[in-house]
Order: sequence, then structure tokens, then C-alpha cells
Amino acid sequence: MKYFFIFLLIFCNIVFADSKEKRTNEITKNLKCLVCQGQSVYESNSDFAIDIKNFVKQEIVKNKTDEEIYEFLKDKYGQNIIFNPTFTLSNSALWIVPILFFVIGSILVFRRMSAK
Amino acid sequence: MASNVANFILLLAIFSSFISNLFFFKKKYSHSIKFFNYSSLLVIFSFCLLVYFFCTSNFSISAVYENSHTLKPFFYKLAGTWGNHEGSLLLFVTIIAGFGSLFSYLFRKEEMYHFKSWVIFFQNNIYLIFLIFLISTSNPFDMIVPHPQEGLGLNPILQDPLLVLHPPFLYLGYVGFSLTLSLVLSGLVLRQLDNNWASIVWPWVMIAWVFLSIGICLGSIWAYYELGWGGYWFWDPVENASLMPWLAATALIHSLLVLKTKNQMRNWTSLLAILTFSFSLLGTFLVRSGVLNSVHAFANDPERGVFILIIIFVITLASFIIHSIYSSRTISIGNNFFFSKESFLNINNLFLLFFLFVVLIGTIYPIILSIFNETISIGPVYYNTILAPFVFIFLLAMSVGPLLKWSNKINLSYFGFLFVTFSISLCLSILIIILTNQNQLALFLGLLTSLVLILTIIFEFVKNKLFLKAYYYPRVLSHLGVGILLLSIFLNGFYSESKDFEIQLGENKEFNNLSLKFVNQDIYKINNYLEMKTDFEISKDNQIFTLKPSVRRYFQPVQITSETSIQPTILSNHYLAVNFPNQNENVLGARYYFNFFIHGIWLGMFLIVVGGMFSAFKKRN
Amino acid sequence: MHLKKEIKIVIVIIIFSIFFSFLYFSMFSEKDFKPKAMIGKNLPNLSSKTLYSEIEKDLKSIAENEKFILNVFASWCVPCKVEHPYLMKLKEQGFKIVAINYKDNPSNAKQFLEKYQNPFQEILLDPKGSLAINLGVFGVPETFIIDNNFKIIDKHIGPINENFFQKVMNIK
Repeated sequence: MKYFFIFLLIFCNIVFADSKEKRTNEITKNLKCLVCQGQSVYESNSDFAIDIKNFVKQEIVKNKTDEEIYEFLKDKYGQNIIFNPTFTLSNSALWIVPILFFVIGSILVFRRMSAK
Repeated sequence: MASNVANFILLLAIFSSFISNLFFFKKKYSHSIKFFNYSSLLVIFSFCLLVYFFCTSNFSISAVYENSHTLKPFFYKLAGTWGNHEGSLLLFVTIIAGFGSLFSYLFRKEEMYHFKSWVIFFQNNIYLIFLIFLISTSNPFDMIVPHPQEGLGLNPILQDPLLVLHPPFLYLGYVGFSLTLSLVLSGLVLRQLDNNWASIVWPWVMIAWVFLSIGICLGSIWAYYELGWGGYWFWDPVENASLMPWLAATALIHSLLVLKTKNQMRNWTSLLAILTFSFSLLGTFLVRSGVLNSVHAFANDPERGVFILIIIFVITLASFIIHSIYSSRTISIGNNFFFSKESFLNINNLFLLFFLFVVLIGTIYPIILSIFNETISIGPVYYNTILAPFVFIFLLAMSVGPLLKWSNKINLSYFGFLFVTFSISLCLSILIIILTNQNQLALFLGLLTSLVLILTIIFEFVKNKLFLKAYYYPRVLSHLGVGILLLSIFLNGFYSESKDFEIQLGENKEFNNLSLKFVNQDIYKINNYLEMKTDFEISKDNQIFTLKPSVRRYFQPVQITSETSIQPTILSNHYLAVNFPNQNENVLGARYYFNFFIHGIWLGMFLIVVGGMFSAFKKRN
Repeated sequence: MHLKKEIKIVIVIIIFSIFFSFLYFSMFSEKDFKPKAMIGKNLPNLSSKTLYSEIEKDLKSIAENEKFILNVFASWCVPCKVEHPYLMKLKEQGFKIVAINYKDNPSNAKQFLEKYQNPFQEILLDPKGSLAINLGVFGVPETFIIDNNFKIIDKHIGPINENFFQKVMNIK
């Protein structure tokens, strides 16, 4: 089980620092185009999405971190602009419940296998 | 007139379905089955009538008036039948009836006549509930007086050949599982859930599974070619709604395998069968009730939503209660051995249900939070992060599992075998990582695990001469499909590139080793839409080709659709989409995608489906 | 698990009722985006060139610690024409209205204001949409009410309607 968590941590921390454009793309893919239906900012061509894309590009040029950019946008537009919700009390269930599900499930499976 | 005839037929169908129940309670089983079949024929006939009304543009029928137009090509007139809530619900009901009748026609074991009549009884009641819902809230044959001369037209985004086929396949899958539910409930009530039952259920589950898989693939292909967003899967709640029953059904198939061969896991298998249809119903609810704000959602109508919710509540709750009453606590025949087929099929179920659960939480959670006035969005990043580590382990388990033997028999030969494939995959993935200079752990693990799966299957196929044994084809094909699909997803995810740019006529853009020139632009006005066609000349590695993306603005209803242009090469796709110029500028926005290994994704999906087909139609031993 | 059947059934019913009541209530909850993230927050420091003067001006200095209305508009935006009469009425009522001209061509904006009259005391230009992001704007038109401590009291998305108009009048 320990290894799953290590995996998970590694995944959350993968830093895409290759190029500025790649970073812009990664960030805008993670932002919801709030005026569109089911599109990310990256995919959309609406005025709203174009503004946000420009904004993210500028902030990256200014050497802002991803967190700073997300925080700013969250402050202005609310939590739902980010596709990957930040870890808060009401969101914690999103991560805890599936992991709990897996743990309980594996206990049941292993008990089943060793049951006489 | 037309409307009255059709309504009369539907009423007759309800009536005869009631009669069927009546005969069942009086224990006149053959009559009960007969009347179910009458009812089913009537509903199928009424569906044909609706198709006929759509094809002949009979605008005295409201569903036709609202969703069709005389100028539409014949193909889309036909498709209009299920391109709306009422028509698609009639299709839904027709398929429930059709599966029931098909079963009553094909299932001819005289000694299990009692079982058969119970199956038809359950199927009849699922069908009846939906039929009543259809007539009372969404009757497709409502009449319009006076008779309008022209229809309102079909949503332009739906005018696409792939999207015409997508919903019927999806429904055949969703609704096909209703028969699985009837079969499992009858098995529970009669306490006949055994290996014999499992082999009766098998082809029916497989057929529905194949249809659902095809439906999902068509949707994905459509999204890739038509939406112009360069991707094939968006974790959109409506896509998730179709993925959830698919995952449940895939788990069901694997646990049926245990029931079929070892006569174990009865309770669990029956629970999965119930879950599968429950998730189909949940998907129906999500799409039709208006709780979602999504590309695919049908018109919002809370009243209908409440009805659907009540129906789903009744059907699923009843099924689960029947399950808890009749499930017998089987004494599991212990098998302590971890490296056995049973335990790996258990692990398979654990993982598939975990994936299902993640998708469920991700889809439902924002909806539930909306009750408390909180809004969050859950997108690809969440799913990718939480699923990826588990997918790697799942792939490894998938490589090992099929090599194992049932029960306690130890098969040592696979150790050396796996060692070889693992080493080769390790070398290959390290090589790929180094050559392409993409030092990312996720890519490495993805490549490694999916290559292990693919190579193991290929080696096994050659070494054990599996090509001589048709029995193994379904498993080999669909597992190979999964390996190729995931390998391609990883490659596509990490090696694809995209570029957003603004360009003027005649301008030339360069990026990486690709140059792109905007050579021509035409604007046409065609009766219902304005279309801008563009030509781009692209040269890469001494190769020159032209891409002709276009974009349409429909006037009624106002909507912009994008016609992407794609140049396939051996390993990848060059994909270009354009957008209308912004206000008072000649500059238009365009987006170029280099989609690596996208063919592999289609190939993987294709193999999975073909494997399923083999399994559905193979001779039973 | 060795539960009695009755208990099992009760548990199933309870879980189902909870799950389905969630689904039921979710059908009636507001799903239109009602993004009120900016309400209650302070007005950010914004400055830009103005439409008629070419001098860079600061929004807060224009407001001078007075209650005022901030309207985001563009000449190419159709709903802006719809709400324009309301802005004129508010001006007549003595409200101070400051505008942000969103991604517009200045000469078109001037034409627009000549044609429909100018209700604004000052018009800041926002050619790239960067001011708009700082205000959490989704699209044009949008209207903010700001009190004398530069706090955003209310915000309206889309053209001003009778309802919002009354709200503004009450705040006065």
C-alpha cells in the first residue's frame, strides 16, 4: 500500500518545466472555460479563454509559479475554474474515498483468498 | 390520424404487457410469454412508424416537427428519429422489448421453461415501467393542430454520420444489460445461480458489452474528428456516464468466468450484474434529467428528471432487495494460493471497480456539492493523477493473470517467460525515453507496463500456439487491444504537440521543423449556414501536403461547428482546426495538433471490440 | 459478513435513500454559473489609458471614495446596446458610472457612445482584456456596484435588467 502513496506523490509533483509554452498549455488545460460547455481554456476559442491564455502567458514571463497563477484565478473566478480541485476539507473526499475504497476492497479480496 | 393510430398501438402494447403479467401470476407461463411477445411486436412496429413519419416528414407529429426539416438529407431525417428525447426513449423501450423477445425466441431449453418465464416476467416489468413513462411524459406521437408546413430542424452538431450511429449502439449496450438484470433476478429467485446459469448469461452479457464498446468508440472518434479540440476523450460527465456501465460490465464478465468454470462467486457475480444495469440507468438519468451542463445533455426538464429518478429508484432498489433476500451465503472453497487464476480475477474486479468508483465520484461529486451552493470542476488532471498509478499495477496484473492456472496448480513455466518480456520491455522503454529525451517517470512506467502486457501476450500466443485454438482468441485479442490502447494513450499524451496561432492570408508560420502557410480562404453562404473554407500548405521533412479545415456558423439555431482537416502519416496525425476571425480583423485563429500514435488508440479499441465479438458468438462447449 | 437479511435490507434502503435524495435535490440546485467570487472583495488597483485623454489614469483615483458603478462594455457586444438605456437612466439618477472598454477599437467605441449617448464619467481602455481578468469578468457586459471603501457590493453578469436596476436604486 505504501508504494501506491509514493507513486501518487511522485505523480502530483511531476513538474513540467520544459518550456514556457508547454507550461502555459499545461496550466490552461487544467482551467475550465467557464463560459463554454465542457471545454478547457486550452481548447476553447472564446474571448474569455483567450484572455485567460494571454494572462497565463504573461504571468509565466513574469516568473510566477503555477500556484500563484492558480491562486490568483481562484480568487477572481472561484474554485471551479480549476479542473483539479485543490485539497480542501469539502474536497478531501475526492481523494480519501477512492483510496479508502481500494484499501477496504483489497482487504476483502485478500481475506477471501485466504478464507478456508 | 397518424398520431391516433400510433397512440392506439402503444396503448395496446401496454395492455398486452399487463395481460402478460396477469397470466404469469396465474401460472400460465406460455401465455405470459406469448403476450409479452405481442406487446414487444407492437412496440417495435410503433418505432417503425416513427421512423416512417420522420422519413416522410410528417409534421403533424410533434417530435418530427421539432427535430426535422424537409430540406434535410434522407439519412439525417432517419437519424432525427433518435436525435431527440422522445424518439430515443421509444428506441430505448423498443430495445428492452427486442432483447426480451430475442431471448424468448433463442432460449429453448425445455427443462428450464420455468426459468425462462421468470426472465420474461422481469423483462416485461422493466419494459412496462419505461413504456408507461414514455406515454405519460414523453409521448413521441403527440399531435400538433394545425398541421405545420415545415419543421424546426435538427441540431447542426448532430448532423454527422458517426453521431447518427453512436446513440443506437450506446442504447443497445445500455439497454442490453436489462436482460442481464432479468436473468440474474430469475436466477436469484429460483436459486439457480450456478455454472450452467453463467453459460446461459454469457453471450447476452457479451453482446451488450460489444454494443456498448462500439458506442463508446464511435463517440470518441466523433469527438476527435468533429469537435476540433484535438482529443479523443475529455472526461466529460456524459462520457463518464457511458464508461461506468462499461467498467461494471467488464468486471462482470471476468467474475462470470470464475462462476462458469469454478462455480464460485455467485453472490458477487449477481451483485455485479445488478450494478451494471444500475449504472446504465444512472447514465440515462444523468443525460436526460438536466443535472449536467454538458455538450451532449438533452433538453432540461426537471419534471421528467423526477420521473426517471423514481423509475431508477424503484428498479434498482427492488433488485438489491431481491439480491439481499435470495443471496445464499456460499461457503467459499478456500484457496490459499495467491498465484492462481481465481485470485487474479478477484484482483481484476478490485481494480475495475476502483476505476469505476473514481469515475463515479468524479462525476457525482460536483453535482452533490452544487446542492450546498459550492461549485467545483473535475477534469482530466484529477482522473489522470488518481488513476495512473493503479493502471500501471493493473497492466502488470493483467500480464500475469492469464498465464496462471486455476486453483492450487502451480505453473512455474511463466516465471522465466515473464522475466524475458519484462527485461525486453525495460530495455525498450529506457531506449525510447533516452532517444526522445523525455525524462518522465509516468511515461516510463506507462511504456514499461503496457509493453510488458503486449509482449507477454504476443510471446504466449506464439509459444503456446494459441492461434490454433479459437478458444483463446477473445481473451488474447481484447487484452492485446487494452495493451495497445494504453500504450498509445501514453505515447499520445507525452509526444503530441499543439500550437495555437493567429494567421493572416498569405502568411507563413514556422515551428519546430514544420512550416505552415495560409494560402486560400473562401466564404460560402449555404442555405442554413455560413462556411469559411481555408487551405493551408504544410511542409515537414521535405513532405508537402495541404490541409483544408473549415468552420461553419449555423443560423438556426446559432451554432459554430468546426470541420477539422487531418493528414494521417504512418505514426501520427497532422490535425488543423480554424476559427472565424475576431471582430474587425482579418486575422484568424487556428490550432495545429501533432497527434502522435493516434492510430494505435483506434486499433486498440477495434481489437477490444473484435475480441468481444468472438466471445459472444463462439460455440459453447 | 454475517448480517441478518432484515438488517441488510434496511442498510440497502438507507444508502439508496441518501444517494437518491442527493440526486433529487441536485436537479433543483442552481447550475447556472453564479460566480460571485468577487463580491465582498476589495477593488483591485487598476490603471490604464482612457478613451478620450490618452493619459494613464487610476481607477481608484477616478472613484474618489464615492459609491460608484463600474460597467464593462464593448461596441461589438449586442447585449450592451440592450442595457444602454438603463445606464442612461442611472446617470440621470445621479450615479457615478465608470466604464471599462473591453477589447475594443477606440474609434468604434467613440462612435458607439456618440450614437447611443455617453453615460460614463470616465472610460478606461482594456484592449487586451487584462483589466477584465483582474475584475473576474466572464464576458461583456458586466456591472459592479462599489461602495465608498472600494468594496464590491454586488455584481451582475449580462445586460442590466429591471431587477438589477431596482437593486442599484435601493442601494442609493
